[in-house]
Parts: sequence; C-alpha cells; structure tokens
Amino acid sequence: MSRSGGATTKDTVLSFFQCLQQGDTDKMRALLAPEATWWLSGELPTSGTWSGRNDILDEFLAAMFARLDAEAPASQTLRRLFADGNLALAEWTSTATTSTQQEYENDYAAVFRVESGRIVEVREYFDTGYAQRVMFNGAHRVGS
Amino acid sequence: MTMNQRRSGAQLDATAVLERYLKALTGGDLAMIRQSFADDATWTLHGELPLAGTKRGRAAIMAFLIDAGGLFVPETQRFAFGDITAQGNRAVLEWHVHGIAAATGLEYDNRYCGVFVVCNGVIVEVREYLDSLHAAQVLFGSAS
Repeated sequence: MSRSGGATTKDTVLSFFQCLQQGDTDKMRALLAPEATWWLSGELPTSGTWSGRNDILDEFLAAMFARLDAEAPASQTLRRLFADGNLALAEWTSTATTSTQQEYENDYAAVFRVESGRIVEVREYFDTGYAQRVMFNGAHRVGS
Repeated sequence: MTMNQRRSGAQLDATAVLERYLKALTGGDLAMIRQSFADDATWTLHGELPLAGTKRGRAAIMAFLIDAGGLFVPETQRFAFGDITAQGNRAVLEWHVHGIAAATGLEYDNRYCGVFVVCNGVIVEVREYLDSLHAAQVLFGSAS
C-alpha cells in the first residue's frame, strides 16, 4: 500500500474543486485525463458512466449546471479530503438554486483516482432521491 | 486482527479494524460487529430514507444494522466489498449490496460508499452514502 502519491493525489483533487468553484472549465479539463471516466450514482438523467473528459465537462457537468440558476450563488463546500496512494476521498456539500427557483442542498462523497497529476476515474455518491425531486422534477434516466 | 497489527501504525489500524468489521458483518457475527464500534460511535446515513439520519451509540447502530438487514428476504442479502483506502485514522470503502426486498419482492442492487473514522482500534464514526432513490423504491416501495 504505497502512500508516495498521496500528497499529489490530494493536491490534484483540491485543485479540481477550486476550479469547479471558479467555474474554470479549461483548468478542469487540464486536470482530467483525456480518457477519464466519471460514474454518477442513481437512475437520474445524468446517472451512469461518462467517458472522456470532454463528455464529462461538456455533457455531464453542463447538464447538471443547466438545472441550476446561473445567476444565483452556488457553492461546493469541501468537508473532508484524504488520500492513500493514487486514490482520494472527498466529501462536500453542494448548495445552489435550481432553474425552477428551488433551494438545493445535498451531501456528496466521491472517490477519485489520480495518475500523473490527472484525474482518471471518479465515482460519485449523493442523495439521489432528493436530487431527483428537487433538481430533476421527478425525471428518470431515458433508456438503459 | 492481531495485537501486532493493532500496534503497527495508524494506517494499518484503520484498515485492520475495518477488515475485522467486514468479516464479522459477512459472517453475521453480531458480537464482533458490536465490539467493532466505540460506545459513543455515530453512524450517519445521508438522505431522507426512513433509516436515514445519525444513530448514536452501539445499541442504536446495532438496531440500525439489524433493521436494514430486515428489509431483505432472509438469506438473500449479499455484500461485495471493494478495496479499503485509508489515511491515518480514516478509511473509505465502496461496496455493492444485492438482495430481494422483503416489502416489494423486487431485486435490490445498490452501490454504497462509506467513510469510517477509527480510534483506539474501534470505529467511532461512519458516514454512508447510497442511491437513495433506488432504496426508496425497492426497499420501501415508495412511488416517485
């Protein structure tokens, strides 16, 4: 169980959260490996595995942000972050206002795998029932 | 877990404590499950399920775990644990739970993420995340 990469892993994830908070898509793209995958828990329209950093940013995250009021403040408050080798665990609280003007506050946990200073894999967990009700107005994933 | 493992450092300690707990959980060893937690341990399940919230103390945690097990048709609940990632006294574990829901007869297939904090060889805190929508529909038969 090597811990040699733990500091780099943690720094990479921390940088990603800072870029997310700043809405800096270019820097987020640079922190993701081209072939990165992002799995989102649940059966929501955005759930499942997204492959490739462009789909992650331009399809997945774009679809999530499209559900939010871009003019209202949104934040991701990092509660915990620790790393072991190339794996890191982050827990955070997201607050935002949805496009239908509902207050959204949800707790998240995600496991990040980092290689050579770039995120190659993310598995993200959150309260899917709450998200479906508040953010997706009861919508399910279309298709499989 | 041997005493040597317990003495050999904080990182191994969190992993070893968690491994002992998982072995007890898989084997249905209630006494060892109970001993795996500190007297004042807390277990927080995120979300709005009937079982969600923070349980405090060994008795409340045991009741929570037994209640959760009771949501399945007997002998159908199966755990598949991933690797443990630990730093210091903190560890994260992801796992799958399969089973047949007692309330609905539906197949339950959910991915969990748990963050464990260990102190003096016992678990003092757990924060658990899962697909709450799937759980609500399959385990509790709630419509959405």
